[in-house]
Amino acid sequence: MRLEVGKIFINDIRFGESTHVENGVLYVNEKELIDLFIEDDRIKSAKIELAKPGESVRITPVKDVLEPRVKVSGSGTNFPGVVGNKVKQVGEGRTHVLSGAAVVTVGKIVGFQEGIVDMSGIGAEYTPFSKTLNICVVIEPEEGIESHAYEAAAREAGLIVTNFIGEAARNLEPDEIEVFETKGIIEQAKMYPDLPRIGYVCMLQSQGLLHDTYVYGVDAKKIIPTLMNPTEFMDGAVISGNCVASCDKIPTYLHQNDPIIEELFEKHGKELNFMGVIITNENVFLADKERCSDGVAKLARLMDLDGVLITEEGYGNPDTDLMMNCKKVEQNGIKTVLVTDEFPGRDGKSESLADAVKEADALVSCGQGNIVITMPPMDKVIGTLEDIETMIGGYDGSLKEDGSIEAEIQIIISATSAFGCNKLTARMH
Amino acid sequence: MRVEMTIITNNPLVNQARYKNVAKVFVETGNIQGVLLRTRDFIHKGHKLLSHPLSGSLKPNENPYKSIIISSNADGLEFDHLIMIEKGIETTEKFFRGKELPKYKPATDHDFMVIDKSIVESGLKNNGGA
Repeated sequence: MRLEVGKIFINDIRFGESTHVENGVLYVNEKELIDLFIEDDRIKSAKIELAKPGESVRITPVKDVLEPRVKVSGSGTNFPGVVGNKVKQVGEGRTHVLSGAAVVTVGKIVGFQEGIVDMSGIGAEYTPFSKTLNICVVIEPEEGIESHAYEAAAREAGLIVTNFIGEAARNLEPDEIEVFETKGIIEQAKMYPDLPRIGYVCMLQSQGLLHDTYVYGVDAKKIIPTLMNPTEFMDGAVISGNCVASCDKIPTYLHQNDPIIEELFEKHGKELNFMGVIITNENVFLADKERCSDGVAKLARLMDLDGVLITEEGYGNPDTDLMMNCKKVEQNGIKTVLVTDEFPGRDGKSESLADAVKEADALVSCGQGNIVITMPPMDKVIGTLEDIETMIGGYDGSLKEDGSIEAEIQIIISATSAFGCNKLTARMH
Repeated sequence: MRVEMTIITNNPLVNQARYKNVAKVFVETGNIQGVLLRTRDFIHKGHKLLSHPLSGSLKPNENPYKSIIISSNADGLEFDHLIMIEKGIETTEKFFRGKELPKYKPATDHDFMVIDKSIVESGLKNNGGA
């Protein structure tokens, strides 16, 4: 599969008469965007706000972050199986990206699972979304509506708005074109016979309400491990429907721009032979964990891999999936490297993961989520500070009178994401 | 009624719900540790652990509610399951050492119940229950 990704660099966002791009500026029209989803009877009201890097702005509670893209050629649409109900294979042809812009869905779903994006100050250092030009879709649910119905409404609104904005890129000339290509397994293996054949096992959060991920519109808890072409992710085949602890969260944006996939492509044909991606889930039943980790090991063997990278989403129970995947893949003679974050307590002295196996002897740490920082007050809040103290990472007294927040960094969106999108790591003492 | 699974829970919403072929043990405890300890008793008696004790990706010192699914039959100690529940208890103690469970307002408390219930039900649905 071959995908051309054409990036149109966006260097500013502004409100305008219509949604379009002019000289690198993305204009959005508030009414136009809200009209796309406001008829949904699960949503009471909505507004659009803009946040730019460096501004004294705090966005919270953040549900998801998405990147506006459009398929220019090749089958399917962006976010296949979810928006427009076009379940067509994606990952081939050409896709245009409004690079630098992001859609951020904001609103309280349950009182503890969404997080913070600060656009300046120390908090901004911990999240990749302080560097994007953010179009915030702030949604208020209809009263009395159940959390899962509202989560679905907010998720769909985010996808619809993102695709609508992405359309603005359709007829533009990209500033940069990148080409990503992998072949069928046999052809790919023959292409670089002297390089190690490397696969990527991407574990998707899939435990239940607000802990779900969707693949071509299918709830990931109902899949058995399957093989994906890396370019399918770039066209939005995998979307986030979850609000796990903010720091671990893999928002849709990171599935579209998976740093592990990008890095593997960077080294493809030079240091390694990137053979493809195996997706699997993180279900609550031990029987599911056995079944799916068996499936991961089987696929890794069928692909005749020499090594795999494994990432997880979340903490606790997914650590068991991570270790089962590691152990079974290693038992097939295939080397593994795990990528995860850590929760060793505030003093950093406790065991970092809830599970471990002796085969897990190579691990990349994306930092520890229990570190406490104080984020300065911001001039403007997009959303509400109402739930700061009950959010994961917050506590009684987290929100100070002056508006500053003292909290564990796990309150910040993607601060310790196991996709390695941030700057944190671990040091041996 | 053929009871194949038993839910050990401190979540009133789960306790009130009706699931086919599922028995329930309600543990009156304000944090998840009590549920884990009671589950350990059952594992010692030979029941099998069916769901992961740390399901939910919510840290034990943040989440007041827990529901764990075990087999209703007791047919011999499964050592791996004992290790898993012991690790769960150890992890929970580790988190409580750093920070106690906050007192949540009723709406947030209810949200935690809803999430726990949803996680249990997603497991049951995928495995022939509910």
